[in-house]
Amino acid sequence: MAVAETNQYDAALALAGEAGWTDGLPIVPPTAERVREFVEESGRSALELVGEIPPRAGRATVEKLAANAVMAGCLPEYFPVVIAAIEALLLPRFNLSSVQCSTHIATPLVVVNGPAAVELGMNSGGNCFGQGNRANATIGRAVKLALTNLGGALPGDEDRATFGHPGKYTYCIAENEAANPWQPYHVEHGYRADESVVTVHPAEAPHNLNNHGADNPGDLLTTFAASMAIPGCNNINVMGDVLLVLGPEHAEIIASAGWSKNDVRSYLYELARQPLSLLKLGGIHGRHTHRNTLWPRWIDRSNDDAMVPVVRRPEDIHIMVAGGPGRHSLYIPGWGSRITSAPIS
Amino acid sequence: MVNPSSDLQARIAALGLVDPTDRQEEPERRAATPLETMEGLTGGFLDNRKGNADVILDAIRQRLAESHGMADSVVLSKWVFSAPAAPEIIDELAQCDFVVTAVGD
Repeated sequence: MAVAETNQYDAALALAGEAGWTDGLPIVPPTAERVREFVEESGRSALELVGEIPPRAGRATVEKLAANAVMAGCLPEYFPVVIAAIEALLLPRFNLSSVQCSTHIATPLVVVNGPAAVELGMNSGGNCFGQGNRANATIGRAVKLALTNLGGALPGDEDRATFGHPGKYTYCIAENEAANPWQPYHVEHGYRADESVVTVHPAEAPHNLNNHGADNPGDLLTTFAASMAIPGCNNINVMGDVLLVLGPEHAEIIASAGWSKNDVRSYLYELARQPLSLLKLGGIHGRHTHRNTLWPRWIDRSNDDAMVPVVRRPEDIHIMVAGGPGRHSLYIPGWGSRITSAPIS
Repeated sequence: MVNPSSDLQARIAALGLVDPTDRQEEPERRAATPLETMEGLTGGFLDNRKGNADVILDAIRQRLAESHGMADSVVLSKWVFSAPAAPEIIDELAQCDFVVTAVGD
């Protein structure tokens, strides 16, 4: 019996690999029984259409999403988070079709807020972007498997990424609300504190911001701004949203000086800039940059010394708090479209 | 996505698995009937706002007008290259006899 089961398991793994269902890692076979269990956990009908996933407009029914969540290694109780992430990704402002097909490096980062993050035992603290937590690891993987299997964005086919990054296997955290000296991210964006919400960001890999020296917001954020004004990132060329993930120790330095998140955004917006003369040397449009970008109108495109911000408006700099002890934060540039959220039902 | 082979489908069924993909038939597509002449026609030109797309489109537009008798042209730009053209742009281009677009990089 045990040998027969092993053979069946091996056959399922072989089939999944052959059919192109996997990300290269082994999967949990999406048996009808397991999938049914996930569907039941969601409280939705198996055939309910959550949406059509670009570029191939694959129909993401609850059952199909469940099959991908099973394959990723999710527990059934994680599944509502996966559905909400897909709902957030399908909001037009995210521009999923382009994120899926671009030569750019981006892939969706999934961030969970609210009671669900705690109930599911997600890691929002030390090493939250790293390995070691089943919910973080498998929710992120389920979302990416669903996008690939249902959207048809297979590497080298519709996914034209020049490089991609390791977050394309899985890229999921929870916000560290307990260590956040301000409102949690989802409350700041209009949800109740007791609602559970998934936020998705078309994200580059995280870039570490090490500052052990600063003891005040000005010094700290001045170094952050210099790290954010990257001429090679999409944002300064096509704008959109960026994400700053403050480590708890950095957040404390800023908040204890009386600064709000809006103060942080305004400061970074003013400082994280590059001159037009530099941007003309590269980016997406090169010397035609001044004609083709979505920069704010007030930028004098005839002046090579004009300073261009990394985003159009201060509020396009999104701020979260996560991570554990240590004087580090993260900057996560975007693809050039928007960060979106959806409630977990 | 293409339909999996019947062998693959049989193996999925035999193992009792749920296919995590949505394998739809590709919709049938056909090429537009080629124009025999551009004499007296109206051309639509859609700039997707990639660098130099406007440059190459303008050159083509001039050539068609000067050497091929194109009578009129409609020149439009997308808001950003990465998003689909707005419905009103598609509606306006649908009034043209033919459309030229450009990627430009």
